[in-house]
Amino acid sequence: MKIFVSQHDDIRIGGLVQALKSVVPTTFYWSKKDKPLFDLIEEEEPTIIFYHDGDAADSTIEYAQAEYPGIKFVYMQFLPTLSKAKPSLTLAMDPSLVIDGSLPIDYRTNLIEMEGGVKQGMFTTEVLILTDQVDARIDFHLLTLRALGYQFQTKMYGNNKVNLPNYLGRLRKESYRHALASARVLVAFDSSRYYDACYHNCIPLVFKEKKTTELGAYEFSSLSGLLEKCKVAIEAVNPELSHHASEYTYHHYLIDIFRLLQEETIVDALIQYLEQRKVVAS
Amino acid sequence: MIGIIVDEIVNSPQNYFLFKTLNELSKSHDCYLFTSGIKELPIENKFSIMQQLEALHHPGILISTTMLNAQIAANSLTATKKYYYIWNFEWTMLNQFAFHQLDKIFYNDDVELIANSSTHNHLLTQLFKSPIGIVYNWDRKSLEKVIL
Repeated sequence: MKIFVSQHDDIRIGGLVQALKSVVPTTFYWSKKDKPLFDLIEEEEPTIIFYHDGDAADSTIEYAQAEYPGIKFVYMQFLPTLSKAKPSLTLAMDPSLVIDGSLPIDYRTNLIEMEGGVKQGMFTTEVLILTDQVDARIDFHLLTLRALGYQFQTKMYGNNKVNLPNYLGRLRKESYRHALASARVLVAFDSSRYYDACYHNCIPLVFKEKKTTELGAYEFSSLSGLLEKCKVAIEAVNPELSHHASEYTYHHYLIDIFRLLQEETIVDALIQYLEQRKVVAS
Repeated sequence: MIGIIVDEIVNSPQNYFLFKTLNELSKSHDCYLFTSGIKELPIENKFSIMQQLEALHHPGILISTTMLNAQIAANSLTATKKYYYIWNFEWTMLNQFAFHQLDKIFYNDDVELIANSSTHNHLLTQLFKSPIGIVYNWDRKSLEKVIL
């Protein structure tokens, strides 16, 4: 079985692919710029192809579906579309695009990236900021980071540079787990690392966007509110969040996806993977 | 023996304080300044100025002053004690850098940090490890207290 996933920098697609690779090693990224769709199908004979809006812009997908009915196509939809293609399954990457039969995909625990994270002295801190979601052009972001750096022990890592001494550079992918395992609180401007933080019992405080409603106590909407919540969270004794995070992983999403695709062998392999790690499958 | 590693010697306030202290220290100790080049001396020197590479086999106390030359100090096999005197937060001036570039310098067990002020001391303690002492603008008395 060969599964190809069209390349995209969305963190959820990365999580799904990493999780899928753990049970189906013949899962590959694919880019239509490097290999056109029909060449891919002829040369590699894929079983399932995950594609996104960029691939659905022309009618190649439509023709491929008609030509190769044995291949299952999964559409990762970020934008409203006019495409006539009829995928085997649609994954709604934006909550506003959920329609009947499509599966909404939100941020979840990335078990592959998070497993093995341990507390390390160099990463130990009260407040952790991962700057990948920080926008230096937004005043509120900078003001928040400055205030946190002033009031608490704060370390910032990530691909976006912040002009504060607390910013300590980019992190290797495998170091994120240790950083989260060593921090008391994660302050974030989106929920992409919410479950990853919970997995390591690091209390996440996420900026309240209109669409996020389920996070409740772990949200902030003002700076004063954040500073207060931070103080309480830092003093919290043994927050038990990891069990909650273990029930919401990209592996669980894959179980739902492959059940809908009627690929029971992969579903069994995913359940077995989770059971081996004592994570409850949905 | 006290050796201090700098990058290029220019006529700057930092170098002025450094030269003044080294001139005073050289009355009682052998002092060396290791540099990658001289543009302009801030004041007359009463100590030896040598090539930066010579620092690698300096058999005494070695004080580095930048992130770059802190790596020379870290790699020295002959130094009896190694310090990194942090004048400013250099990493904030870098465009692109990774954390593993910092951790080799700031978390190096062989190299003790010296802060330039109590504010720096507080931040360095939070971000890396506790500096061994505070030396304000190369003040001779506090430097002697910290390294001797």
